[in-house]
Amino acid sequence: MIRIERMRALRSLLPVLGLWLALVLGGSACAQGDHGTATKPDAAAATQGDEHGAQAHKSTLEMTPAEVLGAMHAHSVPHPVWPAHQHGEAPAWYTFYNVNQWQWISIVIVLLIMVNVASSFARPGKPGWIAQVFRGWCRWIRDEMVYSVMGKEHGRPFVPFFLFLFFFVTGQNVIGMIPSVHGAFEPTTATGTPYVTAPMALVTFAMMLGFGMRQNGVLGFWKGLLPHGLPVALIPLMIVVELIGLVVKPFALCVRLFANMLAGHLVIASVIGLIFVFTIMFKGSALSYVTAVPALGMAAFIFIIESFIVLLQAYVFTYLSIIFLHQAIHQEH
Amino acid sequence: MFALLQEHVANVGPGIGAGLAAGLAAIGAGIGIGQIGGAAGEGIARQPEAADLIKGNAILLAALVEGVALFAAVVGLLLYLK
Repeated sequence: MIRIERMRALRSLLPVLGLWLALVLGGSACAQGDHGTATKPDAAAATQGDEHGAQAHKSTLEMTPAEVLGAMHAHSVPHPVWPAHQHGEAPAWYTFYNVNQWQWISIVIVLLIMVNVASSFARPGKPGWIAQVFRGWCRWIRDEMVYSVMGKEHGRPFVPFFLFLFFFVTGQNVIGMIPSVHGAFEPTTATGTPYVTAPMALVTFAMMLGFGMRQNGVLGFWKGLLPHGLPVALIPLMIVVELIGLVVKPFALCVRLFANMLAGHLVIASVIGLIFVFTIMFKGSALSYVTAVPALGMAAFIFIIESFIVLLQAYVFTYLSIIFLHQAIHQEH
Repeated sequence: MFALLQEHVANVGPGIGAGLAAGLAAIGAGIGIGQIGGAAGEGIARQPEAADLIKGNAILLAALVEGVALFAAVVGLLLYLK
């Protein structure tokens, strides 16, 4: 009986895995096609250009530490994967970056899991383990995060959005934790770039402004930013301060997520890169193999911490969005 | 001689600046998160039944402090990579 249950759970996973594999293979095939000619969007990607360009077949022993680190982190730097671009040509607005690819994969994974969870309410009998886990998770987000801040009546319409936000960010963060195989399978931390987190923070900002104005009126919202009973002389100063405070909130939201993800992956890349640095230092002698052991242990340790942080940062991002939205709707000074 | 020295020193600035930014921010964030953690531990020891509430708030406050430190780290990175 239990066996049949398990088989059913596995079968419900199969389409997810199938679609995921198809996307991954298709994406990496695209990416492989133009690694050499990809136009880099910013200066940080310059090292990567060298990596995939003329010096692609450079021996590790001839690299400088900076090049090693660049190679370790190259897959997380945004570069266009579709369509193919020639050198010097500016990326078009429809350019599909490797970051977008993993965002879509994250959305598809979340969608498939959530369709399974939602349909488990209609199916008779006991739900599978995926549905059980995610039901509990969704209820936790609803009760502990949305309802505990906004209250049951006011929070109810926002629950779906924050559920999506949480699982979307979690999906991207967790995808970034999958180790990559150079040139074949390169999961990118989409949230490790400001290009991804800034729009998400902007959505929160737009919701703050929009729902705040709908609740308090357009003038009331801007008036409500100022504390009551303020001396007239202080009003010009406070307007500036409160406007800065309003803009800093989404900016901090964006930078916190992106910097946390980037920092975690840079630390792992640096620790793994130590192996190569020591190999260069000892010129590939037997001693260099010994140095790989503590470096790998350290990398595993940071990896474990980081796999906690990816969930924590998704929690923090969602929770702060909820708090900011609540503050904008219910202005109390 | 002086020209040679100047040429070497000219490229050192961003590195020192980036290191100082990241390091000083780490000191500040360390003090801040230490105080939050200390107060949270004390609170949980006094009122174990409020542990869940305190834990959630402590994580949130630590994230707020950490965000400021990460601003500095990003500024350092920008300085260094330019």
